Amino acid sequence: MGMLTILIVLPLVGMLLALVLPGKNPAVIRWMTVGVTVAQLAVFLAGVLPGYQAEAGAFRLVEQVQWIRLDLGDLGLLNIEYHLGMDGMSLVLTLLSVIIFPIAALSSFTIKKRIKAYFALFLLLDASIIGVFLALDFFLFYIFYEFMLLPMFFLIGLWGGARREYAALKFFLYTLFGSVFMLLIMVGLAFSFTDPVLTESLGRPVFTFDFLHMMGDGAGNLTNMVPDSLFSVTGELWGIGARDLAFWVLFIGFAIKVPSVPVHTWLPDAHVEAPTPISVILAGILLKVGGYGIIRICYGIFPETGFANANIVAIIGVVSILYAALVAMAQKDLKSLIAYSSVSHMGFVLLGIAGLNATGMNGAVFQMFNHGIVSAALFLIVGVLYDRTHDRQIANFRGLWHRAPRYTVVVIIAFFSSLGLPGLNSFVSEMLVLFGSFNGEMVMKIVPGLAVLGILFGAVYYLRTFRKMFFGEFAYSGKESIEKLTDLNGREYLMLVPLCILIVLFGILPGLILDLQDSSVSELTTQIVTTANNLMAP
Amino acid sequence: MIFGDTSSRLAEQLAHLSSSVGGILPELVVAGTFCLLVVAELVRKNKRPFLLPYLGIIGLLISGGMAAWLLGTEKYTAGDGDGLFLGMIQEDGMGRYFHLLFDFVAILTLLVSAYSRQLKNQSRSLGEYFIIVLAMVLGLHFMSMASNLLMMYLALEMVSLPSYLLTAYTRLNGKSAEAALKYVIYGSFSSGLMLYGISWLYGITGTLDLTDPAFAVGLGNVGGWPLFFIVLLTLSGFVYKIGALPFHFWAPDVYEGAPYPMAAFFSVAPKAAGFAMLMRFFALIPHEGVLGEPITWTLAILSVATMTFANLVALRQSNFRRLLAYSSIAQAGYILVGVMCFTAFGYAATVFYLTIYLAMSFSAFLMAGWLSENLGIEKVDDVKGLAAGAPILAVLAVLFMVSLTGLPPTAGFIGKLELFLAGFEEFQRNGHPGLMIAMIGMLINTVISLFYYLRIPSRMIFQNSTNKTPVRFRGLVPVISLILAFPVLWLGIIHYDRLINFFATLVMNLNG
Repeated sequence: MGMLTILIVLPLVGMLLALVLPGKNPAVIRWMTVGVTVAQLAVFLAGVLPGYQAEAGAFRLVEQVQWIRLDLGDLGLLNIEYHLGMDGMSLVLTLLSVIIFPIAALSSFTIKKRIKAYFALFLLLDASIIGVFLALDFFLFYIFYEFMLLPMFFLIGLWGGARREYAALKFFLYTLFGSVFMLLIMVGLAFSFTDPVLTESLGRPVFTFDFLHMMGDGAGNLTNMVPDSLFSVTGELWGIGARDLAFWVLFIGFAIKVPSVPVHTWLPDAHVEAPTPISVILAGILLKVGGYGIIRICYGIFPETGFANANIVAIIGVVSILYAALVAMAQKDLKSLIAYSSVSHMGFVLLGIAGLNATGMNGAVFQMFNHGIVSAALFLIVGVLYDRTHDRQIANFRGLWHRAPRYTVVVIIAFFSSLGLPGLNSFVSEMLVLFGSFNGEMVMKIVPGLAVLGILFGAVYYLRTFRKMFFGEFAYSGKESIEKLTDLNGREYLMLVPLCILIVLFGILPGLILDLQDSSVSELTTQIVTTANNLMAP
Repeated sequence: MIFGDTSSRLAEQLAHLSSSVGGILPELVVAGTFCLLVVAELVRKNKRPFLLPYLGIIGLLISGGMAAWLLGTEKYTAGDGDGLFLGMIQEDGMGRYFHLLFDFVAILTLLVSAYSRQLKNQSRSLGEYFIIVLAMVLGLHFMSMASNLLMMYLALEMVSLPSYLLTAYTRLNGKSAEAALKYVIYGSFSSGLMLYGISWLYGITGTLDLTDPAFAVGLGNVGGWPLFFIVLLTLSGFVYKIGALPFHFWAPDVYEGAPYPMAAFFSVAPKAAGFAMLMRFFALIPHEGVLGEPITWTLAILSVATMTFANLVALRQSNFRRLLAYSSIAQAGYILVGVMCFTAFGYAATVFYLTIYLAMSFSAFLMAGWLSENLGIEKVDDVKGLAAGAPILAVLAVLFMVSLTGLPPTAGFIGKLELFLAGFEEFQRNGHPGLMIAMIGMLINTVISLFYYLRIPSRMIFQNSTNKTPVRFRGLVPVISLILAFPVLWLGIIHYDRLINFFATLVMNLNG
């Protein structure tokens, strides 16, 4: 079993353990889950990372097993493989996931009812998210991608707040709507690309779901494309270029996940209703699947459409940044404020991608990583308040500085990172994104210019919130007794301190992450641009 | 069949007929069991209530075993078909596979019926019930084999008449009688239309045998739009059996009013038989001229209309079984996508989906019946909080509903994927927009259907029960559902390629 498979199988083993362990003693299941997720982190640091650095090539630690082979009669064969691999982007996002999961597991200690089911679903979600980042076969990717929905649906729907059923269904429907059309594109792509090696060895056309065969040869040629197939360069569907259509359908699907305005409306509902650990996973990892999909699939497979429409992608990004920031300013509930700020900051990812140069793309990937760390911390911070008071109204708190100084320090670090203070991690990636998009060949200069306003708005709502909640005389006007408002406890330290350390560390030494991803992401960008130019050349 | 003109012709025909008998051994077993049951019912005099169902099960086991054994022989894996009884029926792999399915479902239905309290309380004596089921199974067998229009009509009626009787069997239940009446009216109407179409086809071609070359030649001579409408008329019988628009009106009432084991049986077996007949019909008629593109358009429109209408109506259903009824109508719309490809791969995908659909829908109806019989639950809203007392029930509900929606990692997803692959392959070949529209319709409907499918498990799991009495998910239905859950999960992950490749060999030579 390869390293990457171990990363996926580990949580699945944990899930089975959660189901068979006796439910009488919740501590056993809780610590088992923490153990499994920490083991996952250890496997990553001790096995995957050195293994990745020891190898060379675009995709490393590759595992490829034949899985399904369908006979299409005289047309040929359809081949589906269990194909995992890792490049710089998936390395960074997997690292993010294995960092967030132990913290979310610790945060899950506040879950009191139906513990077995909760942790089983939690670990199932873990496995499928890691799978999404590692799959190199479109079919496998799709399975993992769809599979994330069900555990998430139940985690929100069962352990959520008052309107949990509505929020869970809304989440499910939005994402499913985005992904069902992916099925059509996936099937079409499979019939448009063949596997050169298998075609040679089996003597008949072997259609493939493999990303690598769909992405071109690096020199800008789509060598495996079936001539006159639907998603070949000349393919048309009802007079519209089929590849253009496919790009946008997939883009909308992933934009729902990111989420970007105007398809973001599921996110605030999901966040407000979800329990804290699930919000942490949702904002910390799940949203990154959208950005990952846009880079890997939309831009990876349809580079020419993506290249030609980079300006539109950038505008969508900027609209998300500005609109969500403005909406965040109007929020009275701390959690929905952070949810909207999430939408705003994920807009930078789209902007960075649209730059279509090494700087922008690196910035986008690094922004995903940073946003994962920061938003996890932010949602934990809300969780700390909510656990004590069952209240998240900003107006109900005042002068928390005096009551909970340690908590305040954590909040300062997270807030200031999120608003883009130099020296903290988000600053680096947002700057990279802005540089990249300013230099973007296809992007109008005004677009990244407006994005800078988003940072300003961010400062406004964070600082205002901070002033309202932490300055002044201590006062609490909610329903719970004031005695419950205590400073951080040991478990919360364990969750928040590592995140704060990482925020500062990657702010001062961003190279720790950027060095891991840089060469690979730059190569990917070059390939996208070369292929796009090649395909668009008359 | 071509025979000499001379006096030897009669002798040859007789020899052919007697040799044909060897090809319908499983059917003979079913027919024999039917006769045995009639005699047993006469002699048992209201004693030994379990005698008839178990005799029936033994008969079906033998017949199913024979079908399975015949399926494994070399003859069928080559996909070769033999016309039996002067081309009345085709003995081939696809037919045999469907026999296996029918016998299997019928066995489960007999078992559930034998132990159903509801059925017992609402009818006077159950003896005839089992006998009629056997007669229906015989009709189903012939439906999946018929290659002659007359035989198709006869087989269809052989299934329809027992269906009416079985629907009305719980006559102490008012809904049952009403449902049966609706069933009879819609059934006779559509089979009348079908007969009218068949009579035209006979007039045009001079033969009822679809495998006869003269049939294709005759159709070719006529061509034009009149032929299109004649074929449409003939299709109405099939459309009624598969429960698609516009002949679907009977379905909700029948599934609600019929005894629940029968509702479960109706939702899968006659539908599968209807599709088998439909596939054979389309495989044998030539797809040229007016029977080419316009027919694909017709099926595409039927398919999209069926799934969209049924899903939208299902959203508003509060009765559990009516909801499932609309779900089964919608599923017929999905399966039509496989048929309208008119390719071996499309037929294989159809057979695969029907197999999966059988497991999903049958268990869903059984579970609805179980809830009604044991807990008196008829409405979807009343299932709330059941997960607390019966976690297995909730898990099974999640599995089957997710599979019916068509999401991974269930077999329902693979079924939809196969339909898609088949549709796409054919779309890429002939570029027919109808295929693409049907596929897109299927995707949009997947999202719509999620609303009502997920409502059931989410009510069970997310909401708290108002009822404090403990629920125990025990008995025959849970066991059957668990058994059927296995393929739904297993085939969603691995080994379905083998099954599909096997189906492809079964239907390869369907096209004559």
